[in-house]
Amino acid sequence: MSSAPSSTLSFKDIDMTSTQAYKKLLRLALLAVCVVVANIRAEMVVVVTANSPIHSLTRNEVAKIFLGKTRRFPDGSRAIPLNQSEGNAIRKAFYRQISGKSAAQVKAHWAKLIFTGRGQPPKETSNDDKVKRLLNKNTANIAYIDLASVDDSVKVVPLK
Amino acid sequence: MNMSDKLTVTTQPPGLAAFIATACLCGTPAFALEAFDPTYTFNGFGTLGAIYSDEGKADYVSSWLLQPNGAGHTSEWHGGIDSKLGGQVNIEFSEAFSAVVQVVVQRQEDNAWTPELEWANVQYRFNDQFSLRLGRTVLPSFMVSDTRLVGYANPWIRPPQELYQLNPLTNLDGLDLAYAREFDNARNTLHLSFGQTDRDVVQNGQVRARNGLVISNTFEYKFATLRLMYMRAKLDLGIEQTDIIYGAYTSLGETLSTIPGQENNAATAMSLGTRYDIADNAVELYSAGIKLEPGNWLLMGEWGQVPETGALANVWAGYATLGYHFPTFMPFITLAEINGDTPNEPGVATTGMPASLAGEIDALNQGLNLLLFQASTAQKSITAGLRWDCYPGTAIKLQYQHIEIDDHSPGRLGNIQPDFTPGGTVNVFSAVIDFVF
Repeated sequence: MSSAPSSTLSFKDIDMTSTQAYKKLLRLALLAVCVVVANIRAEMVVVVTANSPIHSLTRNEVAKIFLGKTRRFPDGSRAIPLNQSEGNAIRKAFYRQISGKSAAQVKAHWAKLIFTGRGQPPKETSNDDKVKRLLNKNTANIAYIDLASVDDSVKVVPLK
Repeated sequence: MNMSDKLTVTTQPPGLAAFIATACLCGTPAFALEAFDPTYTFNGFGTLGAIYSDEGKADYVSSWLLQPNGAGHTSEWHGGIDSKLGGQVNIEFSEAFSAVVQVVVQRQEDNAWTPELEWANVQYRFNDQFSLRLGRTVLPSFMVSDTRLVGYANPWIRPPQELYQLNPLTNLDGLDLAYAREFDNARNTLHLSFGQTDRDVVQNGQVRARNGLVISNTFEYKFATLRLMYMRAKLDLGIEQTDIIYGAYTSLGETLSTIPGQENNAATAMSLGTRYDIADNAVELYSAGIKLEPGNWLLMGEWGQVPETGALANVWAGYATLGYHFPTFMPFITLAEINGDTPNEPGVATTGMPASLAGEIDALNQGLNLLLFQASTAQKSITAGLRWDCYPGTAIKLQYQHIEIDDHSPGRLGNIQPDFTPGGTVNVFSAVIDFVF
């Protein structure tokens, strides 16, 4: 008789702790999802130099430039893409958005071009500030940065 | 000695610094000269792998012509089939003028890990459409010929051998013209190559290809790529064992011609001395390929044919690969087949000959037929594989291949032992790490 309630109690205890644990886990999971979503949703914009004649591009045109499929903007002028460093979240998001390719697929794509002797991947820099500095060395340059990093030195290219 | 060493060490950095300072001070002229300042890029690739085969009387090899032995008979597990290391230097002299040198170390036909100059060419880009390459360039027989040796760039561990071993040679010395046209969502590239190549092959053999001509056209539209290719060359293939057989027929013909009543057999023997020899024979290869990459799917297939050339029977081959890209994993499945005409060579008749001579001729006829069967490869295989991109620039691949060999041939196996029985099945398991740097 006396053992029955105690066993219920211990059961309840377990229930209590596991519920708390679930809640904690759920909160963590939600947080993780938020972080991931925030990373993906980080507003990425394609930029050129402030004095560039380029006003807008299609997703496909940007993809072709960044995957080495063309060396020119649609107007025929030279296009030189600049990359963010490998592993940067913005780089992953950028290639996903413009080409639907994963980081691994993009890497394999460039390995193909390099070892056919037909191209070299875009120059890389580690963060938005460095990208902006490098960008302004040549009006043919095109890059992508976080919307929050946009300033007068660059011009945002809306994607059609 | 020590003193002077120290002196050199201490004097160099200021010299360098002075040089840099001068370069910085003369900023404008240095910038103007930048156009003539070549830029160098180094890239490397490699594969480290181990292959297991359950066939004890022959070896699983990466190429029947270029690899003397492999997994199976020589050792159940073999590490020297796909393993290789390559380095490539790109030099850009100007926007139009560049050069590429690629050196690859892999196990050669003599079992030695000798570095070979895979590519060495200069490229001149006349404009966006036309470019010319001179020197040693890729021999573009198939869709992924460019990256045939770069495992990382390909979905599988090695391109399906049924098709790709229709032409085991990978480069060409000569010139290569490309004409590319861009359209809205499409791009077309027409390639013309002319050249020649020499290559040492297994069994102390040599291949010599002259007057090579390759025409290929690649059309890309959105996620689809379509490629057509035609290749022609004058080919010499000398392999010790086969040359012995041809030589034996010629001397048999000479012997028989001295025996009255054997004129017909003498003529047959003489003609067999050259009938299957590959010497200045025109060899042709046709191939077609399609690759579709809608979203995360990969579907590709290729087909090729080599019409009869000397001892090589008329063969055709093809494969189809289906894969799906998860963020870091790609499972895939490949079906492949090579098939062709079954050789039928009665050889020299022995009726009415003395028993000892008849026995020798029978043995020679058997030898010739064995050679022809070996040269008429036929097999089917199914491959299930997994590519895991574990780290940027590094992929681990696992592959299981089940091969059904045709009753009359050793399939794509090499180092065939005398007691090998044609037909049957072979199971091959491969594990590799592919990397680029």
